[in-house]
Amino acid sequence: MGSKIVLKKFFTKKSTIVFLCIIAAIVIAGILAPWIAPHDPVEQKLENKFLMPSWEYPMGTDNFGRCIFSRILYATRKTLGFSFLCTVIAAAIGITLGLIAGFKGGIIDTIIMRTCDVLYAFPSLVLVMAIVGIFGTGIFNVIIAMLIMQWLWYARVVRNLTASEKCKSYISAAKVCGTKNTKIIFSHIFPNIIPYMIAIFTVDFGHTILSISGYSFLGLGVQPPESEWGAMISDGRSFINTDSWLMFWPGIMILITVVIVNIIGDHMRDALDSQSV
Amino acid sequence: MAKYVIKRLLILIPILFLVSIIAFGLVRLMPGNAEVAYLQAAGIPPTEELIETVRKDMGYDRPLLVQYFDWLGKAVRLDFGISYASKKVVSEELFGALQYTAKLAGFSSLIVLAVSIPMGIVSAVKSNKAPDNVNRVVAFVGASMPSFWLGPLLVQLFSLTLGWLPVQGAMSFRHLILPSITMSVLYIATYSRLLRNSLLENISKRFVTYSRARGVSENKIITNHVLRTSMIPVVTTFGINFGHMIAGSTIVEVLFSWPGLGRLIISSIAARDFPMIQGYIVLMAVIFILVNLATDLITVVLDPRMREAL
Repeated sequence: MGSKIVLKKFFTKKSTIVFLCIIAAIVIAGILAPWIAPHDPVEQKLENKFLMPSWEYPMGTDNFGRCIFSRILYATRKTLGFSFLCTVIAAAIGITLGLIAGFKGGIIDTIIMRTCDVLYAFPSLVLVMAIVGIFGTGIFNVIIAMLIMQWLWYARVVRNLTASEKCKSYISAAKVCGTKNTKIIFSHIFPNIIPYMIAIFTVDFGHTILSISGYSFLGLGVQPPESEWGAMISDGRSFINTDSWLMFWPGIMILITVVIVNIIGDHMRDALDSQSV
Repeated sequence: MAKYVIKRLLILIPILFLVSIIAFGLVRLMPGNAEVAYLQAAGIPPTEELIETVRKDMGYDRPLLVQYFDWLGKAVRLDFGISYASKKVVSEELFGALQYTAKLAGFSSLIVLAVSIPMGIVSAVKSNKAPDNVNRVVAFVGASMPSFWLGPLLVQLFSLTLGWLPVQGAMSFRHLILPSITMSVLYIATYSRLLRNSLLENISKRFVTYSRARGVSENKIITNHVLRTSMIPVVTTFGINFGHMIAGSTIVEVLFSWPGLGRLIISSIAARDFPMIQGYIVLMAVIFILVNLATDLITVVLDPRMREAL
């Protein structure tokens, strides 16, 4: 519909460009980690432990004398890469099934929504615990367990929106005119749910970053000695009284990244809103 | 409406049946079989004969189907057996822990609703002015805050530095405050923005223009028309999230040593305490299903357009 105008509006907003640049910088820093990290992220130098930030160690060192800055850089790849992968797959599955369920109604709706109900009956944390318990700890098992739960979000909201949108008179009018179902879904219903989807996707991507680092915090996801933001907070928590910067850096990285992701989503939403008014 | 409710209640039977199969099956799939887990939990080194004896005693030598129906028959009466680890009755331990988790989730929900509904309304009415911008910043930071980072920071400020609140435990109401705040921050951020966005979406709709043209007061338009329509996505998401709140309290419970279900299940999984894990899964399933049912019914009550879609 007017998606070009929306995108133009989105990309011409100066603050959006700034935030996109910051997130791009974080992503690029993560990708280039092997070349720009000043130290080996897993190399232990016990004589250097608990150093304050300096030119040699920009964020100081941890309890094993490892360079925190280098560990943060390597952790970026894990946390952001895995979170993005997980969210995109979940959104694709959820939106498709939600549209089908809401639009078709009847038995297909019942099957999809009852599947949701049954899966909802397994709180994601329990499912992650169960799957990690059966197949062993590790980030891929965590992601698979999260995916089983994550698409429900999208499916449920899309289904409810589609179902209430479907009852509106313009859809009935389109049906009377003989418009094909696929055309109704893609040109009439889908544009109406996009603002919600973008709002949910960004919130969800933020959630996923928080969950993936949360599971690593609990020791289920990325395993030591590899670094991950949540796991680094867990490592640093024991030293909160004496050397609190250990858990300060990974926490602030999560916070900044997720804040920016949410702001970008909000800008996209604003652009869409001004279009639809 | 009554027909819809009966239909939803009838669907619960196959759902619960499926949940029971999954709860039974998942635990059976866990590595390290139940007999070994039972002996290890009791602190006895497992030998061939002992494993054989336990297998007979616990009835694990019977066909799987017989075991399942035996388990199901007891589960219906809330009898999940005796915990391997603590040797106490599973359902009693679960309901004991549930009280604490419910207290935590309930108090957090109260905080969430009390803060996010006024926040959302004010920032929608004053959209893109000072209050909205303040809410925007609060929401962005709140939604992006890892609870496993916020919790320790709050402890450092309110417990270690100021000495106002206890570090951990669950002895009094004061112990409830920090965990609840830690848990509610994310949800306050989500709901206040969701409500604000939803309100703005509806404020620009035609029925608002018509109401204004008819001379209906602005307050009445907001409370009677816009708010009611705008609450739908909020209620849907709140319903989805309340169950997640009960289950997702694990990190907070671990952080604050809160004796709820989250801590119980983590120690049960570590100890391979099968009866406890099965009981937990079934209990959670029942809670989730009831919450989702309530959510759907409230959505229908709020949005008459949905009734036609039933």
